[in-house]
Amino acid sequence: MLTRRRFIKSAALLSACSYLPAFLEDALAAQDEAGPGRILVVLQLGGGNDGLNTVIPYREDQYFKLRPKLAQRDQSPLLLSHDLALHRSLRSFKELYDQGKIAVINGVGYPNPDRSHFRSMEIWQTASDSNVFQREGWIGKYFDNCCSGRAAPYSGVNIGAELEQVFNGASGVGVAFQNPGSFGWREGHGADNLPNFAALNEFQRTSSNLDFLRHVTADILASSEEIERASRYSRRQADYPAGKLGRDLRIIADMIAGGLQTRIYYLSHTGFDTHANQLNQHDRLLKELADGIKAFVSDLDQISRAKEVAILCFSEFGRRAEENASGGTDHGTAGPMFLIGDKVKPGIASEYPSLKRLQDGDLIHTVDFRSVYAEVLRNWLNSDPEKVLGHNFPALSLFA
Amino acid sequence: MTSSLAQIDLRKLGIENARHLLNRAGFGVPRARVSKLAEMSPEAAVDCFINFEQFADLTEPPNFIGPAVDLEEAMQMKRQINRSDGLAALRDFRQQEREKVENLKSWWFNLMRTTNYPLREKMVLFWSGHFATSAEKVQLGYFNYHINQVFRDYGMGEFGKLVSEVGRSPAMLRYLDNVQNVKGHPNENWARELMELFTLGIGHYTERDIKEAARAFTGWGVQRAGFFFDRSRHDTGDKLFLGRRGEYSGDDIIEIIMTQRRVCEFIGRKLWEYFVYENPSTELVERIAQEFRIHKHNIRHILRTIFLSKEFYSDRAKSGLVKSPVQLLVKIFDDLQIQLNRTRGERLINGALRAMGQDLFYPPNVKGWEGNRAWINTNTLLFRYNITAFLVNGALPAHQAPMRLDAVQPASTPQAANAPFDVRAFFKREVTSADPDPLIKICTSLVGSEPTSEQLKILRRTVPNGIHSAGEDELRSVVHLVLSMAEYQLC
Repeated sequence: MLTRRRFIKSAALLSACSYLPAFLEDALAAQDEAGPGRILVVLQLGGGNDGLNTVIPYREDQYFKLRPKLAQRDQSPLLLSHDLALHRSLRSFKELYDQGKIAVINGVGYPNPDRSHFRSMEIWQTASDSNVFQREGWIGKYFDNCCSGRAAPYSGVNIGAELEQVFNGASGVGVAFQNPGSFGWREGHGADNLPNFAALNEFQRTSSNLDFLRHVTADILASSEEIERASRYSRRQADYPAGKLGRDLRIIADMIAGGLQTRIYYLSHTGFDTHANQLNQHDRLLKELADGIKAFVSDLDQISRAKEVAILCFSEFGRRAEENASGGTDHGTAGPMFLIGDKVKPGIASEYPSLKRLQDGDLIHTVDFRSVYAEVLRNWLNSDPEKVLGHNFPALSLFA
Repeated sequence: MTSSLAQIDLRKLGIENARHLLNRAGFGVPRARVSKLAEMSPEAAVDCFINFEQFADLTEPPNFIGPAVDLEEAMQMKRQINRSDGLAALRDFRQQEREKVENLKSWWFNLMRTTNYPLREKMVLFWSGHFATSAEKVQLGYFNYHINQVFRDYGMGEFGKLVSEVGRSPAMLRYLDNVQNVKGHPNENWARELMELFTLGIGHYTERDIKEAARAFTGWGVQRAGFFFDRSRHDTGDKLFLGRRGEYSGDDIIEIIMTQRRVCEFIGRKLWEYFVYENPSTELVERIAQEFRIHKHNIRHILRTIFLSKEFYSDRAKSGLVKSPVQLLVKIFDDLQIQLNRTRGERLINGALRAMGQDLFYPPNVKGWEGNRAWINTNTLLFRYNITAFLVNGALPAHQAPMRLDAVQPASTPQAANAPFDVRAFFKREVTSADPDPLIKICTSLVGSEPTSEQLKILRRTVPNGIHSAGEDELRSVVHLVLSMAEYQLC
């Protein structure tokens, strides 16, 4: 792998003038408003998590009437409040909740909800109104607006093979990889062309497409090197539950431990589209979720970085109040979000949607998801939410 | 900034212009065609693209799809849905249709790669982004094929006719919910996007116009595998649309839209940005619009005017648009004469196009694909380089193989045996004894321009003892590096 020093050295040797490639200068200079010690991890539950069975209104008769097969009975060990309990697979969440590390945000949705996975996820990722199509993602816009100077491309990291739309923005921040080792330029047997490839992509600061391409290539090379460097940091391995979520969270912890200067991480936990035979599947997914997060928080504690990290968990919609005829539930609307971290204001942050006042059989949201984003942008990332989201949303207090 | 569409005045096109024309009016392939086009006058060369029917139609329709087959299965599925195993049957059906769409992707990609009608296919690609529908929502394979064929059959003709055919295609009727647009319960989705995205653009109609237009399109639906006008669900009342009043039907709405001057600017600008360069001056757009209007919205005519204009051959135009993922792959396949095992190859191509942001039949949303620089971010660009590495080198060492490509080539296979790229044959084809410098020759052939002395110096490092005494690994190495120049991403 090409080291930064070697890269700069070869670049300097090969170019007529020995300037630092512009991206390096910019990255070194960029100060974003968040300051050190503020990392956001966004965890996307894909498929539409059944919120009613996640945070359960266990005293409501309606809940049991609407869900004769699926209703979760006997929630006593996992009470959150007088009226609400957590699904029994979320034992690890209950522990974190009791330690004061979780804010439960009930009834999160948006006006005129869309029940298409694709479209609703797009709405959540672009933070647009449901009748508006936007290309930029809210995290992309954050990076566009937050920094004086240009943020390094690895300031945003997506654990996964493709970069989610949420990172779309003018400043090109965001790299995606499934494994740290897989983000790099490949070549054939015996070849050692990385320095040559780098040299061919020296760029001038014109606005031509050619220089644009070379600039992005330089971003790739720098990111690849930084990611690889961070992944080489050796540390005691923490225990994570088996499965993809555990692996992905461990990678993020490794990157944090290894010093990768990333502000926002993004990852997905999928399988929540439980149209049929929901019980076992949902049990499993929720357990994986809670155990994974608990292991992650514990790991961060071990490396003394827990205070710096806030985890935001959401799904593109909840599911219908009434169960269907196949032992499952269909696409719905509002659902819970979880904000996890040492600095969150623990407890129940918003009103649970009413089961007595449904709209076409669906929950009516009590919180617009943009309010949650706004609070995270303002009080965790120290940025101006209006610049990122376009306008103001009702305030919500989630940080201590 | 120019505002003129004055025709280029040349006796012969020349190599540089010919290459540019092939890159834009086609997919840049086959490379061998450039020298023939170079010898022609601009009119004769452009004529090859515009009046393509003079050449044989090599298009084979896909044999795995069709209205009778798909419809029967769909009807069977509907009957089964209410039975206890309905859910499993539905899942199987969906899976089957998804596979059909995967096969359609391969069919379409091969068409673009091998067609005798490159401009027609370039326009099919253009229209599929402009009139975007997605197989994500339109799950029946046949409907996706049908609208693709509409672009093929009507995409070079009169624009109003194309709009009318697209509006009737089951894919569009489903995608923009017009099947739910009925008298008394209008659904405005189609009417809105028809004006906002397909013909006029925001600011050239009112919300009231949308409501009235929606009423006019009531009853346009789908029955069996095609368009069906349900008179009983059509709102026959009086409508006020773009200042005119009448008992308008959907066709009337389209006709009235076509009388708006704005349509010519809207479509004209889009065509220029797709084929020539971004942000044309307002004056130039007005000229294009004028031409479009004079030729009664005929696509073939306006394209001819564009490809014969001096401005099309300007430095600005030639400075390069980013190749779409499709064009990049088509070009690599042609340049290197790539041979891939059929099934694995198709999966590889579909996966690669998706990873680079151009998942055919699955545009990201109703706005289609933005193109040019929007194709490029750290991930998509890295993927472009790595798919190139894969195609040039064959199997990569296991720990290096990009995730998606692992499934296609077993990592333990010796490179040469399964390499899709025969590098020795390539050099035999490309380099003759008449070439003083083989490295300059292949660079120029592949990239379209001579390397700078700086670039040449760097490239020579891969073959320190020269090309003629280079081993196979070194030869692959140099080709890989040439294709990794940023210039290769432009067309």
